[in-house]
Amino acid sequence: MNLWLLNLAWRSAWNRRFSLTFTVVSIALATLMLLGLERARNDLRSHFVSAVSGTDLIVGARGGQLPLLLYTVFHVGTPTNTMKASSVEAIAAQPGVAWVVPIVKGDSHRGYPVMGTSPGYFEHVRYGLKQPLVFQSGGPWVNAFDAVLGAEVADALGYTVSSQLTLAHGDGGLNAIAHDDHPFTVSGVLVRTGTPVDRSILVSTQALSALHAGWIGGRPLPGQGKASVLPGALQPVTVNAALIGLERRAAVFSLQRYINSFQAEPLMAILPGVTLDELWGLLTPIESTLGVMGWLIAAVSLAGLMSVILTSLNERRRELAILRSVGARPGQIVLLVSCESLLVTLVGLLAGSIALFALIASLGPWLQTRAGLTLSLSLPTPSEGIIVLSIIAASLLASLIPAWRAYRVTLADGLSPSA
Amino acid sequence: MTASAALSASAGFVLSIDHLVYAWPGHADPVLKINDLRIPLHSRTFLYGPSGCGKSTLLGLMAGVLLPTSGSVDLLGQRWQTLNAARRDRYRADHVGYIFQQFNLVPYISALENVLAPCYFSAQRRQAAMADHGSPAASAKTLLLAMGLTPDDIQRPAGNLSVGQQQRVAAARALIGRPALVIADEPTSALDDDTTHSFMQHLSSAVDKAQSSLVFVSHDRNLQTYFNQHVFLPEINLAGPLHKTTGHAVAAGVAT
Repeated sequence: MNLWLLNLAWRSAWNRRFSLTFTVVSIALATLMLLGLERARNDLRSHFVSAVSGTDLIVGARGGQLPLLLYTVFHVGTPTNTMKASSVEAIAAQPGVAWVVPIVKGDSHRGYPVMGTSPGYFEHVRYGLKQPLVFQSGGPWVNAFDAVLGAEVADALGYTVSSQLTLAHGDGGLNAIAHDDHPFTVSGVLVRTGTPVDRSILVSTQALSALHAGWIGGRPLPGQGKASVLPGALQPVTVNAALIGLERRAAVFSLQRYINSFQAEPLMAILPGVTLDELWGLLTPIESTLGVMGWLIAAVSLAGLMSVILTSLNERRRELAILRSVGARPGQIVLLVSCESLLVTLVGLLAGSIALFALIASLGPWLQTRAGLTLSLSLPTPSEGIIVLSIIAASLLASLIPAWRAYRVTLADGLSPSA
Repeated sequence: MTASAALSASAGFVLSIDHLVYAWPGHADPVLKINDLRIPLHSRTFLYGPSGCGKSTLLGLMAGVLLPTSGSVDLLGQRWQTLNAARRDRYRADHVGYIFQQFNLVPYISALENVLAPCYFSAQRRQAAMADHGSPAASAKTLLLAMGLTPDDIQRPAGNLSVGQQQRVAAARALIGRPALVIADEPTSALDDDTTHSFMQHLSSAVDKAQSSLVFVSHDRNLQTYFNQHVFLPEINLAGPLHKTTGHAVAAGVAT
């Protein structure tokens, strides 16, 4: 009997395949939207946290922790203080320090920040899950006035290896003074990382010193000739900050103490992970807005889902009445209706998830190029599981309402079909 | 069959209504008040009256879909209100067949499968069908052919048959496994005259062959020749307008 009922359920569904397809599609779309939003929300955070990795400490002149993180990692804001290059050397000489990379900020090129650093930057700095920086073309600097571009800079400005570019002093605003006496040549372009590195232009600290040799108060001294100084000979006297990598992470607090109580000048060392969390905390309202939006979308699409299921079940009212009249028990009717809804929901969920994966796989690179948003092709997270479960629960709930109605009235319906 | 059912059957009635009063839930005034109505075994009863006189309500009470406010309705000696809902469903599936006005059939399965449906829900009717012709399918086929359908017709999806054919399929379904009571609620209202008479002839002979009792509701008095018992509902319904306006002057009873 149950086999017969299953067979009947299947043929009934096949008979209504057109409207059921719409139900499946609407469930798939709701799934796609809810899971997509959730994934974007999660990836936004990991995208943010992946900006710096493998760096144990960031050191700079004593001041705010957030500004130091913002200008060294996110290229936001400008440093107001410097530290002596000799201090960087002293720190590098400490036991347990694996590498130190200096950072000099200040100039820009057509809105993109320029960062002075050492060749060690390409070797040691990591992003995401400790992934190293890789060149998509060219390589590190060879000559003094060479520059390495982030992927987005190269894409946006159309630069390739051996293109020439001129830096502007400061942030490149209206009255910026061009360093047109020292054009730079692109030596390499990095692959896209989805981090602020994509938006930066990396040059050597010596080149930046050479640019500013003979400048006082942010202006060139009158009478100084062009390229009067050979850059190779110029070690910078001051830098803005330095990234530090340790041989063993355990040493991080003792080195931090050493730096924070540095004798020669007031310095400060921050743990990037801790400060990143602090920074993310500032963005909580944005995250929770996304969350609220997600729940609103969830509510709307689940309500839509329920109405689609209710409509399709109303279609079956007469069929259920017939089954009741030939002896089907109310429990069997409820089972019939709920099984179909469950099956339809599962097919919709599967279709929606597959569509999401297909979308991420096919549009992922485009999204990364256009929006810098990296969506990951990973297994469902617990919060996505909750979404999937609430979709199933909503559709079961939706199917129980008409099933309950069928339970109560179908036989009376059948006995008075005109009613 | 229970002992009391056997008793009732031996008394010669499939259905006994005794001092029945029925009011819709929430209404004080009853719509039906019937002191005594009995449907004999192996009979054909014509139940007629104007629309709105409570015919469908009475059918609901006969089939145990509705329960009396007071009084009793017994099917084969089994009092409906002593059974719980689940047991009423089971008892109904075993002993009652229905033919509705229209939309009787599941349209996307064949006529044959439609007729077989009660056998999937009632073991008693499945066994009776097997006892009749060896298998439920053979029984269904025999019934359908006796109702004047061709072997081709019975394999077609029920939705593709004409309305007249569909009603004959519905009759065959109501009769498979020989239930004691077959209830037909205006099954000819959607049929033209020729089809109606062909349907009535087929139905009458099939009911007799199955030794079921037929309760047939209609407002079409032309059909009464097919029946051996006639019930004019307004006459026996003491809650109806006939008795209210005439001050209970007409005696309640069964016109036989």
